[in-house]
Amino acid sequence: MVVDYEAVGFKCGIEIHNRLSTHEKLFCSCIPKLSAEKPNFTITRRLRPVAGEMGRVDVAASYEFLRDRTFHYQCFPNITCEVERDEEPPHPLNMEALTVAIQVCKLLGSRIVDEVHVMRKTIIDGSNTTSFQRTALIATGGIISTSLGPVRIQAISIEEESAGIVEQKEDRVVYRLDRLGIPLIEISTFPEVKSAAHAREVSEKLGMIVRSTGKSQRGIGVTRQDINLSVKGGKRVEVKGVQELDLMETLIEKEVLRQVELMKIGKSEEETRVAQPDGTTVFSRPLPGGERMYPETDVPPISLLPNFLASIQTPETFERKLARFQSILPKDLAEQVLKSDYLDIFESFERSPEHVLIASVLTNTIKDLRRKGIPVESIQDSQLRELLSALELKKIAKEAVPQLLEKLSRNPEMPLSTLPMQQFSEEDLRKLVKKVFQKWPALVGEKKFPALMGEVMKEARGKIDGAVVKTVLEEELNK
Amino acid sequence: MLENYSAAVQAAIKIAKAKLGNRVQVSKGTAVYEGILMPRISQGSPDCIVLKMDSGYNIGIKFVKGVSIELSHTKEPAVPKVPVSESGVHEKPKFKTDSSKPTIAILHTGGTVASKVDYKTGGVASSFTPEDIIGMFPEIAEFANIKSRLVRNMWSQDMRFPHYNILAKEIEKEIRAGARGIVITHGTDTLHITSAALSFALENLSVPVILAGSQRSSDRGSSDAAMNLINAVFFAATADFPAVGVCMHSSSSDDRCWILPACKCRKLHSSRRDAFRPVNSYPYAFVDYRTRKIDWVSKPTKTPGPFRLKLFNEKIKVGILRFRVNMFASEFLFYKDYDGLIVETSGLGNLPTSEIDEFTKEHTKILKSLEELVKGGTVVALSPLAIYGRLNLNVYENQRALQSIGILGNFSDMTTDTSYIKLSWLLSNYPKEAKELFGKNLRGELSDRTEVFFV
Repeated sequence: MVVDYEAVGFKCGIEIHNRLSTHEKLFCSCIPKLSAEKPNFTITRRLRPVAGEMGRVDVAASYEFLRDRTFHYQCFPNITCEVERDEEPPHPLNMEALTVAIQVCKLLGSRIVDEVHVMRKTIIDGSNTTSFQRTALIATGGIISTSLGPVRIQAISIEEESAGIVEQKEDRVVYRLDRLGIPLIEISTFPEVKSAAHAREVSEKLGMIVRSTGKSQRGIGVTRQDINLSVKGGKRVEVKGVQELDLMETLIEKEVLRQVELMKIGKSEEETRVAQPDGTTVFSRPLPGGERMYPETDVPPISLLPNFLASIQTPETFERKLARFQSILPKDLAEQVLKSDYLDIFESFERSPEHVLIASVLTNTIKDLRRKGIPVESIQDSQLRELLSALELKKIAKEAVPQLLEKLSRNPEMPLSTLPMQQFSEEDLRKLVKKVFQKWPALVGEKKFPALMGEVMKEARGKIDGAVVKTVLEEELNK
Repeated sequence: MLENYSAAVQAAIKIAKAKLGNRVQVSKGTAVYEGILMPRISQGSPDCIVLKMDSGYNIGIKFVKGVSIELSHTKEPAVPKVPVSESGVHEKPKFKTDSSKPTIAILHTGGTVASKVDYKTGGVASSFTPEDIIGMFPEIAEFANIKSRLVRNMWSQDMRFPHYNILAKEIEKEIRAGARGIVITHGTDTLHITSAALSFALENLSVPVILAGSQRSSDRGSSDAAMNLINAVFFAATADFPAVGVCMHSSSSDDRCWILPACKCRKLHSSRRDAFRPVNSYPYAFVDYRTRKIDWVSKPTKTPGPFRLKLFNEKIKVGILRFRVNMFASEFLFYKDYDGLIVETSGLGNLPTSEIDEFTKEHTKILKSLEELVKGGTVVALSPLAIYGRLNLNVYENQRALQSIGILGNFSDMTTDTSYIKLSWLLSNYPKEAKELFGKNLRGELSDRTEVFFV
């Protein structure tokens, strides 16, 4: 069913949350990454509602409390410390994350505040051990241009990522603490998004802006969208946690239809809903108000002095990047690279003679592997760069790349040098073919293709794609 | 409350006829920020106007030339109209006295159990009224009739001997009025020192006196205040416990508290919930937060005799001197006008008193200065710097010199803070017998057996 967004009075604003690849977490010195190890112990906590700064208990907070649940937190060696466990006050705000946020503000033309105040946003579903999320507004205003005209930015803030959910039962929830405290940048737009497709475009562009700082984490779950939407006469609904842009359009469409149906029976409610894998949403809790914010008194306000702001470089805009990529890459590939998680890696190989090949690896090859369920996110940047350098220097064949990436994905700690790097390049293959021809002149004379293929494959198996062997062998044989 | 703003900002606010809490517009160039004018904390830039935006975020806008403040005419977003008390609880709790329930008196001294944001300092401040505490922890009314009073609103590091006396008198008043148990809320930094002081001041105690604190402030949903206080009240209302105890988290989890011996525990972590640990002792008991079950490890027995107060002499001066390398004799002599001195020694009871080469001549002076102190009437006692374990001055030669000049503390397994409180209290009440009594167990502070207890 096609939705006529204008006719239903569609109003929609988007919030994107993007994890940053800073060296440390937002308020402690733990590494901001998910642990591959097993938790070394678990602690149990209970939470109670508290009043906001303006002296009222938040409705959402009380609701959660009434569920009387215990929260279990898994702790990980080297990746969680006493700060995540709420056993130690926060350390000072991560200035690297603040700098990234300011770069994003500069790209969006936002008005940066003069003094940053870290706030506590009450969240007592247990996803924060403290019962609040630390968050700070960095800027207001700004504009992003889209195919359907400009969309205004409402606010840009930085905040702590919540703990990852492991298991949820009626009265107990298990969380993992490695994710808690990873810096997130949040960008929210005014409700000026015009359709589901437009929502996708806006999200994509905001994601590109964050990535152009070179400090975006990559992989699934790194960017999440919250969608605020309403239809004419209805109440505002917030849909949280949309991870895939492909799903986003379906989800908005389904939610609008649900809202329209609710309007007919007059039952529209203001609430928060959570995105489901099938593009529908389920009720999560009443919509929390501004009441749930109070100051984080353990972190002093941070003055943003003009000198400091001036010292932060504005990254290149993605329009300019696109123009640059289009001058060296086919149009489609240029756009894919721009939208890719690996934009920054491509940029460091931009001047390589193999830049087209590298662009294709970073987009198509990685996408294919991801589709096959291979955890490409776990490949370390340094390893990926090393592999691409080897490709550039023809130390490995392009045919071997998917296989090598798969190996690295499954063994992220494995040094690249231990992988079968002495892969055949086409050049090596031709040398081998010539060697075989010299050894078996009779077979060459009789053009016994299968026998020659067998001889070549004795040495080339596993080092280069058989199809390539076949092509090269045919070529050499027909010379 | 405008005090943390610069004079220029204060003047601009005045001209705009705005007050804190008013909705204002601050214009800066083309930008107009609208929100509630907030008080400033003392940290940060006094030139920045703090606004609470409708989103709930606070931001600071620097008041420079061209920035203007005016009252906003926009209506505030509607908020639900509910009766609101200071703590944010919608209704003031109304409790009926139930004669079948025991009465528990909660005496507050401030600290994190009763704290919230203070705009003056930007930190957490103790400012809840006692009634708010009951409102915050309604469970406590389930098993007791609650009396609640603020005795002092102070940081625990500001405690002095007169405060111990005030507290002891308040406890006596409540016991004589029929309280089944007493709970004291206290800042954690000196909680174990107050617990030791009270166990000396309250002689022949017949009811539970339980101290509870919180390491993570009660202005957060994750505070440990609730479990510690609720368990303390429950324990005081139900347990047969004629002693002073400390009720705090036994682990990082919100599962159970332990009841620690007043004189044999201390704070061993600056921020963790389970900072309080027993030292050279078992805990008395564990109290389960969920099931409210008490698991006993050992029980104190009531000492015979009538309950009475033995207060501190507020004029008594006792010092604590900690061993370190490269000490000087003058440090010891500093205490010659003091009534007593606790010296924290290394190992089993060692101090730098041996002159072994040309660099250790000072050590002979140190030994002499100790002798001078003792001769001058200062009671000197040792305690273990190592925290755990017992002193034994018979092991090394140099320790015997300390014994021979009349220094106390041999075989002591008391913590430094307990030794300090005990000596001060003895000098207050038994100045003549103090030296003899220091080595005798009076309140469970000294044991003959060193318990093997691993946490």
